Parts: sequence; structure tokens; C-alpha cells
Amino acid sequence: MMIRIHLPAYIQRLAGIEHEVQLDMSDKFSLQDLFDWLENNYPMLKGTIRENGTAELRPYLRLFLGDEDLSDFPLKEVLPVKLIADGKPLRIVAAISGG
Amino acid sequence: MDKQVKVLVSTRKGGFILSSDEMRKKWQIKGPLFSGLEVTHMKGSAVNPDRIYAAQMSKWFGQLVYRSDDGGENWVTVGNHFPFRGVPRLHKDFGGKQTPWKFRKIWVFEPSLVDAETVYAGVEDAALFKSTDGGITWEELESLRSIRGDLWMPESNGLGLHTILTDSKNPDKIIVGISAAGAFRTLDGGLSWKPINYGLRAVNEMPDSQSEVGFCVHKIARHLSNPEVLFMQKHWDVMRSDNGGDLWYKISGNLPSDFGFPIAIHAHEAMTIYVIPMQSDLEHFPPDGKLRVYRSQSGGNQWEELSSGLPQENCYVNVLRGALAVDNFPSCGIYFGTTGGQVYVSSDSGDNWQSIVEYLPGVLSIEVQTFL
Repeated sequence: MMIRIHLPAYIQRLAGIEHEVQLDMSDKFSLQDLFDWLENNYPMLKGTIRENGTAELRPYLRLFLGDEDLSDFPLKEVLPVKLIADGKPLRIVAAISGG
Repeated sequence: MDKQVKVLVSTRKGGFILSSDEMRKKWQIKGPLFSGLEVTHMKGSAVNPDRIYAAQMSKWFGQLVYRSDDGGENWVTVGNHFPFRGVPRLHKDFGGKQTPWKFRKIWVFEPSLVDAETVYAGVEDAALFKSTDGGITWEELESLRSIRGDLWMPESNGLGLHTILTDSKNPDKIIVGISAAGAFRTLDGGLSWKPINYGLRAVNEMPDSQSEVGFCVHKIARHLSNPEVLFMQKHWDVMRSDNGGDLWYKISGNLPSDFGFPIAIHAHEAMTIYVIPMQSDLEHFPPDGKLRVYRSQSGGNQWEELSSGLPQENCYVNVLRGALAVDNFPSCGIYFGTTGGQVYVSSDSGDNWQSIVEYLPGVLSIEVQTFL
């Protein structure tokens, strides 16, 4: 199953990625699997999306798949097929913060 | 290589490298590096000046550590994991309650004076980390936090370890400064530490002004030719120690205010020191709106005003603790950056000043590399 991940602009620049990445996953996978793939293929991203040590999502980042807010979805839980079947990208969104 | 100076300027929105020759009149500006996010500190290795470390921090993407091995032309990310070691510890929060230590950001790098692969990092919440592989992995020197860490408390910008002084003749001797905890010294490479705060006073800030720790040390400077003499800009008070920090005494003398952040020492005169007074701990701007550096050529107490070339009216910028540095040219250059984005240089030990740039993002820190 082909999965697209849309990354914040700064992360794109840091990793040398244009807009989004695509990866081929098995039928069952979790957000943790996606982040592991990202960090294995782009080691400079370690600590930028997930906290070093705790491996939790950083507090100023949110996750969306289509209209679904997955920010609080358990990272280790397998993503429901209905969420990922229509090919919409997983969006990692940096909070609007500051002025 | 021709004689050259590089000024590494860290700002709220990126890093810049300012380059010139010994005349220090014409400057080339490189940057912004890592643009858009706060760069807290950049510093080059004295052993291998082509190696420069840069710390970038943001709430969104956390701590990044960059390293260049070609003088700032190209950069790679290195290790950004700073795990605390030992037993979990608590320090005071702003309200005085105990709170767990948490890594927030790097405040300062200090590359070893004897080994190109060794570098120290001072972080918030205050702790000292060491890397012996060029910043790829980091290990905490954790016994520092055992020195009454329960009494350490953040200042307004956080509980940061901002000063790391190492000694080329004795690499096991390290002195650190922490706001608001004080100064600490190890003689065994970080296995054990001693607080060195005797003589400091904080009558208006601390109920127990005789406390062993808790002082808001803003910056400590030391000349390598005279390592037992330390100079300190404290929250209030400019202080000096003649015995490696065992005893401090006040040298504020005739300063218009002894509140300030940075302190620096002339490259070739171990008793010539510089401070940049601010009006007060509420008004972080120069007294009377006049930006003035003060120099003492007697190791303190007698200070002279240096203002030629600096704005003398309507100036309300601040100069942060890491934003004053010197070069090593025979005619010593003094540099400082402001929260208003100006970087000033004096190529004659402070007598006359000129601006290098005037519209950078707010300057957080400055380091200087001299290529003789």
C-alpha cells in the first residue's frame, strides 16, 4: 500500500525533500511504523517530529489524514483501513504560533 | 591564508558569519544560515578552526545540532539527543515548587582546547554534556546536578548553563556558570563538583543571601594566561576572584550601573576587562539611552566609558550575555551584538567603534575566530 506523508516546510528543507515522501507499507501499520521509516531514511529528522527519549509526538505538531485529526491517535496502534484506503496523505502540520 | 577574522553571529532567526581582514573595516556577510529559526550559539574549535558547531532550537521541531568541517560552508546535522543520567532529580520552578529536570535547549557550546573531537554543551534545564566524537553522541556529566540542584531555580529565560571555561593546561579543570544557580568547578573532569559562590551577594533576590547556590550569574570570563583570576557579571554586581572562584569580591567601582549581562577580557591584557551596563534588571537598556562599553585596565573598580562611534541618544537595545567577544589580532578587536540586530566592532581595544551590520534579527551570541 502506497502511503504519502506531507511534511512541514522546514522539515522538507532539512531533509532535502520536495513537498512529500511516498513509502510502500504492508496492509497493517501504525504511525510509529511511519515515523520509524522516516527517521531511518532521513536520520536528520530524529528528534524533530518525535521527542528524543520518549518518542512521543512533539507538542507543537499535529497529524491529519484527510479530515481526521490523528494527533492523539495512539502511535503504536494499527491505523484503521478506512482511514488509509483512499490515498489521502498523512499531513504533519506545525502549529501556527507566534506573530 | 591571509590574516582574517570571522565573527559567528547567532540570532533569533538564523546564523551569520561576518568576515574581514586585520583592518576590520570592510566586511563580508554570509547568511542567514538555518534561516527562520532561533540559533542560540555557534562556536568554532580552537584545535581545528574549520570545525564549527551551531545550535538551533524551535518549539516545533526541537533541538538541532549542526556541524561544519569546512569553516561554515557546508553543514551536517549531528547528535541532538541529550539524555540526563543518574537518579531523576528535581529543581525549583519559578514558584519555588520542585519540578523534574527536562531538556529544553542548548545554550552554549565549548569545544575542547586540546582535542578536536571533544566538545561540551551547556543546556537548559541546566546540565553539562560532553561529546568525544564531534557531537554525534552526548553524555551528561551528571554529578554537577547533585550540588544542591534542588535549590536551583530558572531566571526569566530559563534555568540555563551558559558559561563553560576549560583549561588547555589542565583539561580536567572546568568552571561553569548557571542562571540561577551560581558558579561551579570540577578538577577531575566532571566526576565531582564544588560550588564556588562564596562572596557573592543577592540581598534583594534571595532570602538567604549566604546560600551556597542560587545566584544569578550572568557570565564568567577568564584569561588563559592567568587562569586563577575570574571575572563575573552577576545579575547585579561585577565581581572578581583571584583564587579560581574560592572567594569573590565586588569590582563595580564607578560603573553607572552594575547590572548587565556579558563580560569579556582583552586578548593580550589579562587585567583589561569589558562590560556593557544596563539600567536595571527591569530596564534592560543602556542608562540614559546611551550605548556605552566600559573598560577597566586595572582588573576592576576603575572604569572608563567607551562611546566613540556608538549611539548616544535614544538607544534602548540590550546586549545579551553571550554577545560580547574579542579577537586575537595584535590590536585587539572587541565585538558585541544587540537585541536590535546591530553588530559593532572596535579594532583598537574599545577606543573607537563602528557598526558592521545594523539590521540583523536580534543577536543572541557572538563568537570570534582569528586567523593569524
